[in-house]
Amino acid sequence: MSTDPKPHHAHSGHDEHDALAARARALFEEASAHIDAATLRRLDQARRAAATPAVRRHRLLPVLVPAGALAAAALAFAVIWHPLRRAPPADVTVSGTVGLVAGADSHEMEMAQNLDFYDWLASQPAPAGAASAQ
Amino acid sequence: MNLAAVLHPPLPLAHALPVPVTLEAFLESVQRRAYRVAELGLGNREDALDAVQDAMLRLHQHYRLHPADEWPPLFWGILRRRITDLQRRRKVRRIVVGWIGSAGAEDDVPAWEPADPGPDPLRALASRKACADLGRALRALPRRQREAFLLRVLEGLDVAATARAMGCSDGSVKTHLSRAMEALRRHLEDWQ
Repeated sequence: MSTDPKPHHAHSGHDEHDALAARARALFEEASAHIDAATLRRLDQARRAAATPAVRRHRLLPVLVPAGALAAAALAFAVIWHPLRRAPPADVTVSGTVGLVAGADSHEMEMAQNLDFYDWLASQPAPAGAASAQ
Repeated sequence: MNLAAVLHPPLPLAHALPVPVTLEAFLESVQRRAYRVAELGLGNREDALDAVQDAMLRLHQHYRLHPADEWPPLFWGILRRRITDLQRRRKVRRIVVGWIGSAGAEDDVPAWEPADPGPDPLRALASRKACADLGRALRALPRRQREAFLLRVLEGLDVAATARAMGCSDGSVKTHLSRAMEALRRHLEDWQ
């Protein structure tokens, strides 16, 4: 008895594919259902670890953004208004600076000590010679 | 004539389950199958766990706020790329270190071996052998054909979702899948 294998093969091709796919899927489901406890525990840990950073970041975002802005503003203020920026130029000698400051301080102190004398002097009438000289 | 139209049969696809509404629930529903897919692609438990964890992390970081029906193709796409990255790194490492001889040993590791054989020893033996046969046949496929078969037939994604996960067109998915089915049918003749 001779049969034509080609039509038979073409006809059964889809059935074979269906059977192959169905069996492969059944094995896949069975293998996925039977995973050892240690591996399953690792998968659960991985899933929880994947979820944790996103939740934490979401909660801290409203706090971290203003805090970062404040920190940046404080840093900019410190850079612009740093006390060292008001320091005298480097070419001024220390002895000269000290001398100028010391001179100004002593003059002001002398004025303060002689305030009574200057009050008295201002209350005196001007001498006749001085008025004619003007 | 389109090869896919000739060779691609109307497969009885996996029943499409509704996607869980929370990302946590979705990942819990998919983690076992994701691990098996990664294990098949990498042949190593630790690498498979790393790949699945990385895919979960990236889905959380970048796509948490996307609609739930977009999660399956996104997740499987991330996992697919991660597996490919690890395979490439491993290949480079083998070349650099000179461990070419160990490659064959890793490829012989049977995939999807059920941990619990069950009460019936004959059925367990048949199941174990079938799992090993299928694992070897899938690992022998070209990468794109294997990906199309895993996503379309085993995971049950539709053509559009499979194409999105694979980063190719719908027509390419059909072509890869039909070639994979033909190759698997040849490799698994004992199943007929």
